[in-house]
Amino acid sequence: MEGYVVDAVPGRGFVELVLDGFRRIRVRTTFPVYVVTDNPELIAQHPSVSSYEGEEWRDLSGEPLTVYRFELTNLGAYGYISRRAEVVNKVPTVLSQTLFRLNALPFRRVVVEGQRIRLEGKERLARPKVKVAKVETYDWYGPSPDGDRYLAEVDGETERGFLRDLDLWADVVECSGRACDRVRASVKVDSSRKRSPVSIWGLVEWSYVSMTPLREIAYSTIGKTLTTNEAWVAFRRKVVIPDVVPRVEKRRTLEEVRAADKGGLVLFPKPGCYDGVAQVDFSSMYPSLIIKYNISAETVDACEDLKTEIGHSICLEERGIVPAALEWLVERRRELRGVDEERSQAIKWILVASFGYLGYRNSKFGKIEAYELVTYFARKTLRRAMEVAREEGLEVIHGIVDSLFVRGGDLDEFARRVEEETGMKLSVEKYDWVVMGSTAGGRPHPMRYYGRKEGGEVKTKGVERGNMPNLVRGFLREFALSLSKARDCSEAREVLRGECREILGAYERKAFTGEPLDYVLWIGGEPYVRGVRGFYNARSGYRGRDPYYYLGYLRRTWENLWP
Amino acid sequence: MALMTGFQEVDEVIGSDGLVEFYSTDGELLSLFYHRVIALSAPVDVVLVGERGGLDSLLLRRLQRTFRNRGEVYLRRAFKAEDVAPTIRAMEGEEVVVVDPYHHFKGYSQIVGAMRGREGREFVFSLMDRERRGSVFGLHSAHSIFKLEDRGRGFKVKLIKSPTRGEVEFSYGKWEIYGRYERGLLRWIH
Repeated sequence: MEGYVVDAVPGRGFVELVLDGFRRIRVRTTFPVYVVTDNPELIAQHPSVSSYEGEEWRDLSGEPLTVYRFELTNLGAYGYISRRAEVVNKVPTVLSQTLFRLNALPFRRVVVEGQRIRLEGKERLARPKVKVAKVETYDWYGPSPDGDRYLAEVDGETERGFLRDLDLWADVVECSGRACDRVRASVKVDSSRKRSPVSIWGLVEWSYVSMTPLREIAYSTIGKTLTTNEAWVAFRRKVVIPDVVPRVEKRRTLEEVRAADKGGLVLFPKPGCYDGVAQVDFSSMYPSLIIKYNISAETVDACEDLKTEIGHSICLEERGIVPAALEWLVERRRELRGVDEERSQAIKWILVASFGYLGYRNSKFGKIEAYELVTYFARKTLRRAMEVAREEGLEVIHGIVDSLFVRGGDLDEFARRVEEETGMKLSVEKYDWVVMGSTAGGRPHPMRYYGRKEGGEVKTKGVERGNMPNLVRGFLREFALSLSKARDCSEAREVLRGECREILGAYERKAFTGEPLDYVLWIGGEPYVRGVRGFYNARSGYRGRDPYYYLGYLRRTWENLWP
Repeated sequence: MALMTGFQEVDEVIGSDGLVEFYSTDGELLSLFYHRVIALSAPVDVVLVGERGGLDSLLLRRLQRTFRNRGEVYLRRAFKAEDVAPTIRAMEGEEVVVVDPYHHFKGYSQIVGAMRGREGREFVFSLMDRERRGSVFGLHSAHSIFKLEDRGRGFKVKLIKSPTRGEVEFSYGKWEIYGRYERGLLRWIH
């Protein structure tokens, strides 16, 4: 039998592989559990232990350690043992470790011959040939677990209809509310329990890269996927992964902490419209810095191969666990770009979290000094890029952590020099014009800007927020569309005074005459409408709106659009 | 400098006690109070427990200027419960200020054990209601324990436990924390 591994269900002495098309096959196996103990014989007395073996591993600081691997016939005994003994290597999960040994990794094509499994590893970038669907139920205000209508996306096709008519099967389905009861799938993911920002194909990709069954990561945070990736590196190196890693911060003076514990560099641009601007982005800046400088908990302050001004040093003797884990993720994201944007985005989320997770208290492979080093190198890199820009005669308009807005001068030479000097890849995006936004008080707003890219598309940042009423969001979308006609700042000004004002007028009228859906705004996952007596939950039904609230909102938004 | 609160009566009660705990349910008052203690006692080692924040460097510098004490403040932060005990043990200084050691409400015995195991003096500031939560933890280890209570424009330092004194309380104005000895212009406003 051959096919893609969609799921795996552990049993007594076997694991049942669920392949695409609901096919199942049992493979005999035991489940490995790693324990640090002085008395392995005692644990071996558990009826589910079939055998055990001592292995030489290392702890995170590199000290040798004897770890016993117990082979369990029943995964149910894992809980019993982990409560009574010091179980290590809990990540990757036991099931993932089992599948790894069997060559039956999630969403990879396998050939099962008797009790042997062969991995067919030729299609690295193509989507696994499994049927993946997403079904959402809708009410008048938008997605709702109690809605009567559904919207389904199956293999890129969209279906709509009444829930009573829904008849859908797929290998993997993301569903919400009552729709979950009406679909048939090997793995169902309940949207309301999801804690990750990625789509269902994104979750499939996470399952693929972390070599963990989808069922085990469907409701976990990005952190778990990232940690699993790092843990695989440690696992292959035979480095023991403890459950909790106590960390002791270096003793420093208050001034030293103040100097080191900072974020990325953010400039405050002068509000206004600028013609002929280029946005120069460092691609995956933080992960790239982690990789370039070998930043990982075990490499920071381990030796003094690379000293820094903030008092931390980095050891370059051995590749760190975090950079090793990120290296292939950065590479995979680069490969997926342009091939599959959805899965590329899923990898991007892991990379985005990788830096923050270094400083997270429960991170197994991070520590605060490593986190501080990343922001230190990021500030240093951006400052150097600004110096090069000035040397090449470019005007720096704005800078946000990993991105610079520049104009004039020799852009190509600037990009070439920055790449050469920093050793990092740049992506350059040219704009016909860019508006740097301001706050309501007229002060610069570093995170609010919009502009027309070469090609005509208007990109906005920090202008539209998720908690704005649909009415305002609709206005902003039309606003951006009409501005896409302007080729420079003076034309943008004209469009703003003419067409955009007309759009505003139309939306101002809509504040009084709109559909109920126009007045909905989402806060904390709940739909609200502003009525004359204040906000009320839209789930309880539509009970009118306060048009003056929406009118005021529109006008405030409009006033902040042009500094 | 030796650990001190700068309030003569309180310092007299504390004397040379090794482990002294101040607790309060009022985070703002407790924070002001330990900033004062750190500013007065510098050079001093500080263990800060919590995910973020806890020490206002500007306030600390301001208080240090007020008290004309430019001594260094050495810092170690413990972000999770399991970090607290090893961090306290790692502090080399003779005198240590520990801020909010029971922040995570777990690992009490390891934390108390680490504090007891150190040589030298320690001032501990706990943001907790000892009457309701963790009331017995560390009580036997601390030589003296004070409760800080907010009283509007002032506050009370209540002696809860001391090997030498009975129950006693001292009242101070909030402005005294900042090193002022009268209310200043405020007296004309109220």
